Amino acid sequence: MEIRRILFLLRQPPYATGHAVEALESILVAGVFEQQVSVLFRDDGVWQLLKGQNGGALGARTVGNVVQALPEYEVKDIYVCAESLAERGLVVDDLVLTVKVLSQREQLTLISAQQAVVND
Amino acid sequence: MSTLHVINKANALPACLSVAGAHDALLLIEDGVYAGTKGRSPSRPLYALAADVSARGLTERLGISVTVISDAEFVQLAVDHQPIVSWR
Repeated sequence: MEIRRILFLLRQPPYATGHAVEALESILVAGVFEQQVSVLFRDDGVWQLLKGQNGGALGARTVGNVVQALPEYEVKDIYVCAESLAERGLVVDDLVLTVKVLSQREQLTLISAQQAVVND
Repeated sequence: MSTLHVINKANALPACLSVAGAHDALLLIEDGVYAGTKGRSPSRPLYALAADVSARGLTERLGISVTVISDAEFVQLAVDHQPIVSWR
């Protein structure tokens, strides 16, 4: 199979809709099919990364746990927007995974290196 | 009776604040609870729904003006206020 470089832009908060979980599941599938998958959390999508979530309070899956599974599915290029974190008063220690923090300019470089971008 | 404002998206809070009376109750639910986090929350008292706060991992991150309430307390707020205005 031709290897494709795919970037998933995750911009939706967890829980209010099924968007976050559905996007994460499609990333896990892409990882299994040996695509070169990158994930960039930005805007309200950074809330998916927050430690201490408890989806059970709403009878839902805990989105933070799904995010934590990404590296086990060969998805290792995980990025977060510096400005989106700062706007929400978050720092990297608040997050469930070790992620690379990117400036706006670095995000532009990341996006331009892709063959496909999925924007959720 | 005073008004209960129910905010279910964080970016709807400024619009609500612009028209809410001093004695109105403001309740954050669903993604509205993100508006109650430290550094973002306004100084006036707010309520936030416990299940939505807990699911999102925000229990330790709320501003001091925010009081977390149960579903039963939400019902009591609804009984004690009229009208109820939803902001989304």
